[in-house]
Amino acid sequence: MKKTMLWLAALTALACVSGCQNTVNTVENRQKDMMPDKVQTKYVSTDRFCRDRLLVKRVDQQILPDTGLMMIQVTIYSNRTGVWQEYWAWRTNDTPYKIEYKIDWFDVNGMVVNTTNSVWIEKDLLPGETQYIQAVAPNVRCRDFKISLKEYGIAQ
Amino acid sequence: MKMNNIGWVAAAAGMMLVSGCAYQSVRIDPASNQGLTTVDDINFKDWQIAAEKGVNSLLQSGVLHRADGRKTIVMVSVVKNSTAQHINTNILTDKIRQAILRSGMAVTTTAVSGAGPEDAASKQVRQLAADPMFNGATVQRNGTAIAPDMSLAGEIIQQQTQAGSATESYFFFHMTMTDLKTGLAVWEDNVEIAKQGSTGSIGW
Repeated sequence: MKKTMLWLAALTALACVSGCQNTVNTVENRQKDMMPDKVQTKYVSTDRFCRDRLLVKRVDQQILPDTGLMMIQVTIYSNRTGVWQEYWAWRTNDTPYKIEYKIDWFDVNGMVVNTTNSVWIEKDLLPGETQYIQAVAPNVRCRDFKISLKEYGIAQ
Repeated sequence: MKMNNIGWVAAAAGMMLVSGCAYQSVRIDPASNQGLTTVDDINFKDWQIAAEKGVNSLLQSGVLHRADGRKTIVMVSVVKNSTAQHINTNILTDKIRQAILRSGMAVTTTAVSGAGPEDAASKQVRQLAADPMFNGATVQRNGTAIAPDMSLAGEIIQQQTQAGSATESYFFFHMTMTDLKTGLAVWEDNVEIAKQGSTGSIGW
């Protein structure tokens, strides 16, 4: 009985602690007018930890009018929600969740083109938050890309 | 003998302490996050973030594209430094220039810029026409240089805040592209970078 009470107290404390986390709540229109061009075959390179905590929901592409440059948008979502995940994020002082991304662009010959997207750029995500990474191809010859994601601070 | 051993141990411990304090230098990858982060300065990662966002926005806007098929000529004007630091704004403008060139839609001129020509050679070589040492037929003629269509300019602003032991710096990178024919800003964007730091109660 005493042991059960102890467990209950611990669980309550855990729930209280995770309840203090700043989780993002969203509301949006259901009837969408947008018609995104979803990239069917996506290649997302992530590490083991990032894969469990960060969800790449979709990758959309668009050919910009006039210029013909390709633009992509990566929708990422922090799925560090739930009692245990939020407790652990709080315990490890890991809120907001810091990640880094890098986008490599390739020309029609498969050669990588060095751009301002070729460096690791930081991004912060709150639990349950959706964020968007946008990038524009450096020129019209670039039609292929690779997105790399990793947790902040992990050396390559 | 025993005293001799103790002496050696003490000397070794002293060596370890001294070597522990030695200054170590390593080469780091500028594309990584291994660089130092300081509150009051613009670190190289900040420049990279500003350039990444600025270039994506500029290319997305499509202002460099001309309907007549000719490439837009862009000059780099002045990027005003309104921070408390001595910084070289060329770090930002050079990255943007390279992206403009790489796009294939525009070229940049070095013959004219906000702070005088970046490369004075275009003017210097035309003065060679008066020099008998040179074959006049090979000297670049006047009236051949192409004037710019657009001008890239900007300002970097810093706002510092302090509360107790915590300090904060807010850097505001503002960039504009002006159509020199009309004087209208055809593209504007800004990148915001905020940094915080604190010192311990007995730190300095």
